[in-house]
Amino acid sequence: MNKIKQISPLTETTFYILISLIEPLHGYGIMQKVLKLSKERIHLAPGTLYGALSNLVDTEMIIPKETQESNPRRKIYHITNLGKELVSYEISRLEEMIINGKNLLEEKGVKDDKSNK
Amino acid sequence: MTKVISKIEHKNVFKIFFTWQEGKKENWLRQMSNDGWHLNKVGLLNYEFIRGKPKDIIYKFDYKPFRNEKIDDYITLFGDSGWEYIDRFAGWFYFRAEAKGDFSLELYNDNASRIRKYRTLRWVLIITCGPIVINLPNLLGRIIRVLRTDVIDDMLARTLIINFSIPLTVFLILVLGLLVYGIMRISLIINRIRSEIKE
Repeated sequence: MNKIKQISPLTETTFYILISLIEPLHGYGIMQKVLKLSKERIHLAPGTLYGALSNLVDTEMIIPKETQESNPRRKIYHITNLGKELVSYEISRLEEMIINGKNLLEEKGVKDDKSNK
Repeated sequence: MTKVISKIEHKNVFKIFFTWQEGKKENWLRQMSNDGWHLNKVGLLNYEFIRGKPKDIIYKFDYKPFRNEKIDDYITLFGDSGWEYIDRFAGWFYFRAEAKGDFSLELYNDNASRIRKYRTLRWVLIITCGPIVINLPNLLGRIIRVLRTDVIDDMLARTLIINFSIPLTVFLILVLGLLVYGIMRISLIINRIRSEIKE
């Protein structure tokens, strides 16, 4: 848990990389999936993706595995249980942000809008 | 179908670029490709080109001084995303991609990992200074000691100092100066990226 708190908050790209690994993928697969999930908003450059993957491997959020598939040079990345915990921790953190933001905006924001007019 | 390997035209060009001159090197290689000379191999100061059709090709360099077993996965990832690996030298990896308007052709698109690249580079430069910094006082001390003593019978020591120690010391001071200057330039690059503040 301490490790998770240390890493959180994740950057947007790291978050997307992690959730895309709910099913194991190789590097290029991650790139395409993040692009699709974000509706073509997040285009990961290879250097950026590789750096993020190395960090996630170092902190044991994901593990690379060798493959016997078409191209043995491509490693397949798997999310670990710790990685899954990190994702749910981030989701509740983001939910809290959304609820607080919405509530306060509805309470005060609307009032301020009226007083401005 | 006949292969005419002998007809491949090669050309070696010697050119000095310092670590902080990445942009200059990118432009030069792009210009070479536009003139029909495509980079094939990289050495310390020499670049080998192969003759081909003139093309607008963008070159980018990544710095990754890492262990061999990780390289395949790394190079394949770059290849999958459209960056052809050319060669590596002293931790620098050379990639190229054809310029095609719409895509922003960058190896990195977040500043955090861009900064990490230059931090690693700066760290290697700092470590390289170590042996020089440790040996310089010793060398300088010996030179001063021998030049100060007027004892003539110690001719051998004197000759050694003048012909060997002094040139070596001058050389090491020059190298150290370049390294320190390089560290400063890399630090400036890091600060500039940091001031752009984006993720």
